[in-house]
Amino acid sequence: MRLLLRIACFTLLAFFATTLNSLDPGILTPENARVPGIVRAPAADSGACRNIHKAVCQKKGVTRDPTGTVRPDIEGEIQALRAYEEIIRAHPDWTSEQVDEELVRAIYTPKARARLQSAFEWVRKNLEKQIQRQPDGVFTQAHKQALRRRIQRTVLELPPPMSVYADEPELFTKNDVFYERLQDGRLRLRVGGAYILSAKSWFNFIFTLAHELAHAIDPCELRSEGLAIPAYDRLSECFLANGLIASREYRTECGSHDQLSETFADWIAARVAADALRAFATEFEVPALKAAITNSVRDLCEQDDPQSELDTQFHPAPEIRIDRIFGRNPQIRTLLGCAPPTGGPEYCNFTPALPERASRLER
Amino acid sequence: MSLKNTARIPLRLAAFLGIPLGLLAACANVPRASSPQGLHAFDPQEVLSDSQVEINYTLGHNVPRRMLIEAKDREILASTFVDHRKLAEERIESPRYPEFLQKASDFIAKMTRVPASEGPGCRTPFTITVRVKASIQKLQGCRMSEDGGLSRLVKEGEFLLYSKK
Repeated sequence: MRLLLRIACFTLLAFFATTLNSLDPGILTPENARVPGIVRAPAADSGACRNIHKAVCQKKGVTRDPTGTVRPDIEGEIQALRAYEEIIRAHPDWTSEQVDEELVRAIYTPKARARLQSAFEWVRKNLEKQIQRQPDGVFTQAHKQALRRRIQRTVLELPPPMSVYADEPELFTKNDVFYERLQDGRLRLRVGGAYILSAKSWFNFIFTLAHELAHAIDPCELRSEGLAIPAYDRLSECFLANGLIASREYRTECGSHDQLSETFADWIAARVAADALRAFATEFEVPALKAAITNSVRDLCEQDDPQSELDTQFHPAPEIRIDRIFGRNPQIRTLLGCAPPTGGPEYCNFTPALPERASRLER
Repeated sequence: MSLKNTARIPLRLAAFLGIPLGLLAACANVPRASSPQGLHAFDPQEVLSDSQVEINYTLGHNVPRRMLIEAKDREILASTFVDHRKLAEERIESPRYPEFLQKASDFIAKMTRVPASEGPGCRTPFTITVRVKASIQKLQGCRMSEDGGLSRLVKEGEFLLYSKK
């Protein structure tokens, strides 16, 4: 009888956990969202597997996974500007700085900051592990140390107080998240206030923060620091050969019209997101798992506006980012229940130098 | 006619013409009234009559942004766009608009003196244009090579737009 009661209690708890997930987006981390004991292998969906960009981007408006929602970028910005306007109306005698301070308190709440910080720490640790895992033929110990140091030096800067973004105060109402290297050598990530309003999915945080943190070790950043890693050269060649970097007559590597940095950042972010999805989402119901995968890259889709005109000077087109960089990552495909893509080149990876590769083949 | 003859001007006439001519010449050479940075200062009445400040820029993402504040016959219209979509548009009555335009103009003048830095392609380019009647100042630059002046200008423009004053 006691055993039956315990099973009943457990089932009820699991039911409420799932219900709470859907009613209260934005609060949960993957640990809270996990429904223990349910393991489902997703069935392959050949349509989605053939065109992951279409599968991710076809649904318009808000998309939801057990950890939160992702809304179109413009909605987050409109919401931020409305909040800004309301504060100004409520306090017509306030200065611009006072209004910003209040806006920052309203948007960068302790809860929002904590979620971003925890996602950032998870990404940082995962990226360090990925570097450490590489064999000596890919990264020497010195390379690993240099890369890890750059990752560790990168700080996630979040207000309040609003003076944290004193040199970029317009960021409070913008959707942008970006990495910066300052002239004094400091490395930092910053998060626009509108992003916090438009993205509540933990998996979107992971992909976005992983993309930005990856810039701390992207080929162009390393080059500007005088670091040369042969495995990076091989990876860059693979990106070019696979059409993941637009090959342009007027392109200069790491200069104008070059997509190398952004392609690298997407490629790293796909690996980190795949690890996060594998770690936390494999115990979701199948639709929830697919929603989590979708939300990881949902904001890379073209926005729902015919006037929208994305600039592809530095970023690959959304289709390449979602379908070919993210969607062809072998782990992502496994999670989606998709077979490896038929035909076409092998997915790019860090590879050791040729002689070691040859000797590995011989064994 | 000899040079000597033509050069002969009655002293009284010379005095009569010379003093005002001299004054005119002197006035023409007096530097225009300057703003604290030692740059050109606009007449607020001219600014309110026909002027415009336009800022086009990109932040971390590859999405174009635009802020436009125009004044015509003392009517001021402010609007912001993201990815060509209008986010907000308001009529503002702002005694602060001429001051805002002056700051934008001073920013252009200051940045124009800073030599462009060599380096990889700029990922966060901006263009700022200030027009007062037929006088146009324009600057194209990179956010990474300036100290946040553009961001503060954009913020101030947003404050004008939403405070409407």
